[in-house]
Amino acid sequence: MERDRIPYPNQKEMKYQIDRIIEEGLPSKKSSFSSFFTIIKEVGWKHVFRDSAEILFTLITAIMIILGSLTLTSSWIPWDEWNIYAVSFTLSPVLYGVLVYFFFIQKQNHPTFEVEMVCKYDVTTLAALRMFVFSLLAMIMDGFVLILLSLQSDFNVLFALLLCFTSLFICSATFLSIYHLSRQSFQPITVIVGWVVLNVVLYSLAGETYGTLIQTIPYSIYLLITIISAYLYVKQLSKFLHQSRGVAQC
Amino acid sequence: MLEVHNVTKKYKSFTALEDINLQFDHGIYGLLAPNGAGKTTLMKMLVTLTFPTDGEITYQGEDIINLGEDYRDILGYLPQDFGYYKSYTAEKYLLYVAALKGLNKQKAKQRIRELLEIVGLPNVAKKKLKTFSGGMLQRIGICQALLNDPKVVILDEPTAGLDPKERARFKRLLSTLARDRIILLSTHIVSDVESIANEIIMIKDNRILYSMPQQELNKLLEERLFETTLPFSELEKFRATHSVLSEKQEKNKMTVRFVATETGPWNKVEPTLEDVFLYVFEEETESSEEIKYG
Repeated sequence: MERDRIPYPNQKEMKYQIDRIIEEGLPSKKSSFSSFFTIIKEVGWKHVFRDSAEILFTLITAIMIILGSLTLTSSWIPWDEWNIYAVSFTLSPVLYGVLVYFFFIQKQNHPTFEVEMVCKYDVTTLAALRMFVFSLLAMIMDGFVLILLSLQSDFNVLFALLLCFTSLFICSATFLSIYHLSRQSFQPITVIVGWVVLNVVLYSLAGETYGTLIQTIPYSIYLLITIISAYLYVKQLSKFLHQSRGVAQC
Repeated sequence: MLEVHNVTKKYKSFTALEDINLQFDHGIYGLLAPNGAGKTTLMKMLVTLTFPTDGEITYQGEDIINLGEDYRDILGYLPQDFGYYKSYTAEKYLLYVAALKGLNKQKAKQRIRELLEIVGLPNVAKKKLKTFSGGMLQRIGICQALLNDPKVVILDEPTAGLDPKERARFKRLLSTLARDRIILLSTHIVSDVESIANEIIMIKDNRILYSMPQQELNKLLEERLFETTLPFSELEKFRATHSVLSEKQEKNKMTVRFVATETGPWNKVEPTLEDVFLYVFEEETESSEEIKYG
């Protein structure tokens, strides 16, 4: 009697089937962007930016203070004597720092924090989306301030904007890296304060040499640094989405 | 099943909890301990607000930290100090929390109506939270914890601020909910859990002292609990020689409930959970009274 022939799959088919089982069986790891869309869809902009009026007020106040300080100091030092590139490079992360400080760091001390922290979309998850929007806002506002300044003074707006983005992403990526690594021993917000202080000190000590140095570095180098830091920044942001040890109390 | 495996929590040199092992299946678990014993720390670890220094907590065999949003999705939590936005109405606040819990608006509105009805606040949905009394706010806190129909409900001192009628309503609610979920209720008010908890957990000296059903816990004082009535003049002497748990004034005399190993001309009484609690935490009660009055 002839025995039934069992149609065993070949190696290629077996590998395909195993991969399919694993793919369907294991929960898929969402990308940061698809996670953002899920959050927006399920939580909604209205709730992600529950405090939008406060954010807007803080943003306008911060811009007024920056513009006010620049206008005030312009009566002592004429606009033409300002090295606008050094100023852009120094002050660009300030708005981001202000937003992150008031609407992320301070939020952890709010009495609602514990309730919000144990929800499906907790403070850390929302923080990733909020900080992404904060960085976009900071970029737009930096651009807005530079355009306003260009009405008073003659400079290369695009180069100044590139300097703004470079320093913004260097600071924000470092801020988040420190936040994830060792916020117990070092307050990450000091990165942004430190950046401003360091640049002011360098400008005070080296004067125009510092300004010239910033201008002599090629565009391509700034562009490369911006791309690398922006990539690191997004990587650090996505840690908030995929890492449940976010901002829990210790 | 929610399981706590050899969990220790330290804050620098201070050990808040040591080598905690617990298992939670369906039902109500009452976490009883005096203030400062580590109840809130344990609860915060169970809701991933803080993490064990050693050991792990698992849900259905997986570490709750790794489960992340999947764990939080089945979690309901009422913190001891329940925070809210004062300018929000009850409905707006609950809609906000519902959104964070991933509920769509239509489903959330329906659920909010149901829950406000359950906690006895059906007509205050449009009122601002800043106008609410302590008891009303606590009931809103209970609502937010139950919005997502959680499988694990952790309630830290949920009856604080509730009047006796609200307490009774709350107990009924918990008994209904406990059929198919885990409810862990921390309190230092014994009557909150006495009639409803399937199991009582007592923490002493940063460790789990008991984790067992009430009936078994009551056996600790079986045949050793007595009651007697004394004139006031004999009270001081009696207190000095016996382990007195409670006293009650009746017709110019004092009825004393106490623990004794020998028998005497006293009435033997059935121990209650409150008796066990007072007996177990006698030293804490005395020392706290010394601090308070000494």
